[in-house]
Amino acid sequence: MTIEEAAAGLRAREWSAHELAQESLRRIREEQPRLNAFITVTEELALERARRADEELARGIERGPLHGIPYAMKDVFDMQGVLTTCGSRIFANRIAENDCGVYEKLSEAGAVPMGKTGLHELAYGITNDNPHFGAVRNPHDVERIAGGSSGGSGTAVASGTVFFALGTDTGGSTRIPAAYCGCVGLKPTAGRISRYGMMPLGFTLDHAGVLTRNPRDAALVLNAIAGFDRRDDSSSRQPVPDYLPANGRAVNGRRVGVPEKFFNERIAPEVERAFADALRRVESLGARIVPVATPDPTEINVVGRLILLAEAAALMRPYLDRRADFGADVLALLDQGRLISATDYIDAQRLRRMYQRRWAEVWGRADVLFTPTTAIEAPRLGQQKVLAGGVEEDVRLASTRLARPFNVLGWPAISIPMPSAGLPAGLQIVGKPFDEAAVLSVAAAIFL
Amino acid sequence: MTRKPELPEDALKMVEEIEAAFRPLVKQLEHGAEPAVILSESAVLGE
Repeated sequence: MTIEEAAAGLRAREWSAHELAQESLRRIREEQPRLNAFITVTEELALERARRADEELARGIERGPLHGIPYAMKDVFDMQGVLTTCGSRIFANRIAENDCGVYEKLSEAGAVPMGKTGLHELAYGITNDNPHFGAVRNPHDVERIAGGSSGGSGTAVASGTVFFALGTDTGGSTRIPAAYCGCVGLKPTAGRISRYGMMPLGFTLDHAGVLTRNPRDAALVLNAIAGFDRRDDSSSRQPVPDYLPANGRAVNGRRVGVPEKFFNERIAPEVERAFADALRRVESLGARIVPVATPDPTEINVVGRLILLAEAAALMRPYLDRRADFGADVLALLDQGRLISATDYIDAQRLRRMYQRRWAEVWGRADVLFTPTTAIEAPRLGQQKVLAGGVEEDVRLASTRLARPFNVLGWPAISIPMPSAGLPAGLQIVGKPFDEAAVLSVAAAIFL
Repeated sequence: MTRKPELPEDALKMVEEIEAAFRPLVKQLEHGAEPAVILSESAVLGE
């Protein structure tokens, strides 16, 4: 069921918000032992909000399409009086003192919070094999990773326990779990969604993200949470349009740019096949496929990784004497970050500006870009290396190298499922800055 | 690089790898180009 269908049912009195919340709780209880998607379930709060939604709807008070709809948030978003662990032992008992910006907006929209979802420790990784809270598992194969770092949100949405979930995306962390779990993951333009009250990882790379069952639902959620927040220095004052795509031929005549190089190299055959099918499909709907030349993403990925190493290490420096409280992979990254020099960090930010101009030249030839979201399907839990197009590669790099450039650039990007015979695979659609509307309308038109 | 001898050897090795990939990129920067000013309008206004 989509958010629009659930909302229509609420207004037709076919079901109540209380019933939707109860069903969500039943599904969470059923799936938690298998998938471990949640760190905290806010049952009491959810039932209270659902009761309020039913009362308001009965009195004709209309808060929009999310009114009475169950959702979850990655455990980095603050809700006053509720744990925000960031998937870390360091913050395992941290009770939030305030609500974050997106939670305020979702509460105004009348949505029903079911709980906080699991993640890679500190949102610093893509496996979600969390040493403190256990591994989040992929609903399509529990021996495989959900992807991360917003893996609990991806798993919760893909397993049908909630209608939507919030994630974060610093190097692909919303889009990667969407691709591996088989749901939709939207990372909007930098500054589009408030980061106030969202625990940081990389100050200049972090974005809030949205995970849903389909692109239209992502548009509805973005409608509710986009916009300026003076408490977030990176927040944009760009006007917020209505993102819900109009029904119709959204792709007819659109120029779909497909990178000629780099994004089609070292790709697993199943992903390659699904991507070729997606291109045929969008072309059959009237789009024009345009080969485009992009700079080599390897360079911008090195710049992005260096920036993140330094920013995350600076953020966590006060806690680095508590070495036993970190998982080995995260501690190694934090150690590396302490070794990055200030001059390298500054030069990385300067290079970032240069690349932003170089990459923007692509918009002279295309309206949106298509790439696979990840080079591979979901790897097995514990797997360190993977074959991508016949070449052995680190699982982290194979998962992030096609997604990370758009964090460094700050451009909007969505991952939608591509039909495939086996495990899910993601199609990444990238847009011009603040053109989420184009990204969402193309995604909605080709979504199956 | 600021050496921190108490850190594990593998962290040093991995940083050396990323630095090796990064250093050639810096040559693309012209002298004085791209001043990395990370200062937002709202920060200047003290909001």
